[in-house]
Amino acid sequence: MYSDYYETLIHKRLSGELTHEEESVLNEWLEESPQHRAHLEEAERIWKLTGDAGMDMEPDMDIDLENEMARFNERIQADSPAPVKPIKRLRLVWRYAAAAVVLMSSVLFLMQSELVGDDFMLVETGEGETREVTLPDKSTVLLNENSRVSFSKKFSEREIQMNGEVYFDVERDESRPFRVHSGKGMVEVLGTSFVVRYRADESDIQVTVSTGRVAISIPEANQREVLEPGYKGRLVRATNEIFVAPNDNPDYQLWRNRVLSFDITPLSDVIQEMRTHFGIVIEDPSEALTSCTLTAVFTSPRLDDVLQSLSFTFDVDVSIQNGVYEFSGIGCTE
Amino acid sequence: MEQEILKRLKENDEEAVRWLFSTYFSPMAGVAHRIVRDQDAAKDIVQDVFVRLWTHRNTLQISTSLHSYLRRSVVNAAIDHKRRFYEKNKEALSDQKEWEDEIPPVDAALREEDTRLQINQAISTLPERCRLIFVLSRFEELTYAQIAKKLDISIKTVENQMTKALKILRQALR
Repeated sequence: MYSDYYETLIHKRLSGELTHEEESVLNEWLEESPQHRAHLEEAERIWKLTGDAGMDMEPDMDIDLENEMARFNERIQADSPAPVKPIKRLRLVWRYAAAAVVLMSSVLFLMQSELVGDDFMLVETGEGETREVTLPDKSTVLLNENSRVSFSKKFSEREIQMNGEVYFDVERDESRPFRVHSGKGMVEVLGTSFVVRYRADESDIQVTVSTGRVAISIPEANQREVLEPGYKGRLVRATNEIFVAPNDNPDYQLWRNRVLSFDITPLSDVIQEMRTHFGIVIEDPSEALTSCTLTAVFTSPRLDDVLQSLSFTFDVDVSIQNGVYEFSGIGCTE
Repeated sequence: MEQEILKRLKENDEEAVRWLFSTYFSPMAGVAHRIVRDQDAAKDIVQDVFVRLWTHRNTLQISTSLHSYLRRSVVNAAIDHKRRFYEKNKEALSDQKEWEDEIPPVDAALREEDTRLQINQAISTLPERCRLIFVLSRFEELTYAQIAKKLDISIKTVENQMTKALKILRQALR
C-alpha cells in the first residue's frame, strides 16, 4: 500500500484538482516504478466505473407521477393567492379509458397516453408497445417500447424532444431543419431517416442513419459530427465525446417488424435495400455477381437471416472489414 | 424547446407543467435521492424546487439550460436537507469523530455479477459523509472548494474523505 499522500494526489488528478507542483510530484512518483503506474491505472478504472454508474439517474424509486402532480397542484393553489388555472388531472386518460372499453383493449390503451393540450403534444409508449405518429410536417416517428416524444402542436420550428428509442422518417424541407433533442445530444437533419436511442440507464446516446445525412451534436460541449448512411454516432454522455463508425448493430430496427421482399430483384438492388434496411455499409458487388437475382420474402429478418439465404442461393461469401460488408463469389449463370 | 416551456409556464399552461413532470421529476428525484438517501425526502425536495420554479416563473431568468438549473437547485436543496438533518441530530457536519470512522469490511454481496449494481453497492458502503462528498464530487461535479463551502468543512477534510473513498472503492471493486 502506498501512503495516503499519493492516493490524495491521484484522486485530485482524477477530479481535476491537482496544482502544478503536485502534478510534478505525482509524475516523478509515477516514473519511479511500473507498480506506481499500475496503481494509478487501477484508480482510473474505478473512476470510469463509478462515472458510468453515475449516469444512472433514474434509480428504482417508487414514483407516482399523477400523485406528484396532484401534490404540486395543491401546493401552488395554497401558496398563491392569485387564481391559477388548475391542472386538469386525468382528463384525457378518462377519455381514452372510455374508448378503450368500447375497443376492449383497455390495458394497451391505458398504457400509451397521448396528451393533447391546446398547443402541446406528448406521446408515450409502455412496456412492449410500439406506436407510430405523424407530425404536423408529415414526418413520421415510430416509438419503440418505453419511449416518449413531445413537441409543439404548431410545429413552426421543427423541434422534438425524445427519450427512449425512436425511428424518424423526416420530410425534406431545406428551409426548416428538423431537430431532435435527446438529453444533451442534438440531431439535426433536412430530410432523412434514422434511429435515435437515448435511455437514461445507458452511457451513450446512439444515432444510426438509414438514408440521407444527419448532423449530431452536443451543443453544450461544442461537438458536432456528420453521419452518412450506414454509420452510427455514439455520444458519450459522461465525457461529451462523439464517436463515428460503421453501424455494428444491423438489427437495430428489428423492433419495427418490417418486411423485406424481393421479386426477381438484381443483387445490386437487393444490396441497396439491405443498406437502408439494416443501416450498414456494403461495398458494391463485383461484376460477376450482378447477374444474380433474388426472389424472397423476409418477415422481420435479422441481417444474419438474409446473409444466410444469400450465401445459400448464390454461393456468395460475406466478409466484414472495419465494419464494412463485402460480398464475393463466382456469380450466377443462366 | 426549453425556452418554450418556460414561456408556456409563464402563460400558466397546464401541459407545460405535465411535460415538466414527465421529463424531469424522476431524474431529479434520482439526483436528490443519491444525496439524501431517503425516497420521501427526495420527492419532497423535487416538489419544493418545482414549486419554487412555478412561484418565480414570471421573474425567472435562466442563463443555462432548464435542466442544469433544476439539477443545481435540487443538489443545493438536497445538501440543505442533509445539513438540517445533521443539525437536528445534534451533530455538526465537521464532527471529527464521525469523519474518522473505520473502513467497513467488504461485503461478500459485492461480488455480484451485475457491475453497475456492484458499483452502486460499493458506493453505498462508504461511510455516510464520505459517500456524500464522493457523490457531490463525482456525480454533481462540484469542486473540492465548493463542497467544503457547502458543507462548511475544510478543503483538507474533503481531500481526506476522497482519499478514504478511493481506498475503499479500490478494495470493493478489485
